[in-house]
Amino acid sequence: MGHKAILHIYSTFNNVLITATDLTGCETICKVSGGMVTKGGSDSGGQFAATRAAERIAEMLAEKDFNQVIVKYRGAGGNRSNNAPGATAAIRALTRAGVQITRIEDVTPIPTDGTKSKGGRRGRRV
Amino acid sequence: MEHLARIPKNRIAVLIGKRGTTRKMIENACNGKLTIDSLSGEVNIIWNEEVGDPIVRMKMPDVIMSIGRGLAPKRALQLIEDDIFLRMYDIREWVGRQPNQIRRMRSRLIGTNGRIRSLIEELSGCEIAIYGSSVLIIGDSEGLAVSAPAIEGILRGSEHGTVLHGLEQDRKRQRIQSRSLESFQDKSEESPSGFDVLVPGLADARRKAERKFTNSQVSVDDDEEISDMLKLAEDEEIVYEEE
Repeated sequence: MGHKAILHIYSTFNNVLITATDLTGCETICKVSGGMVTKGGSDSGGQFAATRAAERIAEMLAEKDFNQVIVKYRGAGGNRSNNAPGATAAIRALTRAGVQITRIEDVTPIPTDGTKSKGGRRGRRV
Repeated sequence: MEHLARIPKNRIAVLIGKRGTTRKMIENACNGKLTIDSLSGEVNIIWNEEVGDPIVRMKMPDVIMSIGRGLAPKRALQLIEDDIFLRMYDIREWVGRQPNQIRRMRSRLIGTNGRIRSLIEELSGCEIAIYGSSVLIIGDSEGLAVSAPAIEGILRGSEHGTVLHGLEQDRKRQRIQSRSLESFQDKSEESPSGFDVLVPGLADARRKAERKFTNSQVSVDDDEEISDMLKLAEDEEIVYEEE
């Protein structure tokens, strides 16, 4: 009988951070980031990186006798975009690796009345 | 029972469909049972299996919400697939809350007889729904990367010509990328013959000539390939006029 862990997936356009903690959420079991599994710096936020990272963390969890996870995914949130581009790919890879997912939750921070967005009055000037 | 989304009253009829056909279609696709509160517009779901496909469960709120924001149910169901994503814009965030301004932006996005919208859809392979003050785009990640800057540009106030020109260039860049991948594969198969070893630079020149030749060869049946070949060169351009 395996243990249960919480898997926090923080997925932005530039990187994917996957951290597995115990059920209290304060003790880290293992962690993997998109930059650890890809060579190119610019594609560490893509779906391929998310898949590789998820496979890697599934391996690590199996080694430590965890087979059930609760997934909490989030995007950048706040006044930036709140979609998590790598989350779908990561969760798909987890199910392929045989990890049992009991619950999925979106924990993107959503402002009720946010701050002014980046870029200034005249927008981003390239 | 799991809460999915809340949709406006005038979209409830669309979600249910004639004699419940649309609702049944959605229930079959996601393997659950929808309960719709027609007074408040709350949509809940009861899953048939205890442990189902986690991706479907993750994406169902998006599906219901996009139907509520004006996407046709058949198109919205594509979202269940793995590599189809949703991106949402609120016109009010860009031009303020005045009804006149929202109306102006909507017409700018759609264009005369839907010209601008259909052009963006065609060039990026995404689908766009404009309803009230919200703009939805669904498509794969490459298509979204092309169409999202175009939509943002129009919302920001760029002229139609500029935006369409940018779309064309994105398309061109993608084509060049895919082509360079092919030539890279071709290179590894070659083996140097006698003359190539003796004359430095001969192999490179020959390879360049061959590449030019293969690029101009297209199959007669494939319309897309032909239209790609007929595309304008770098020094030519078409000027779009604002109507």
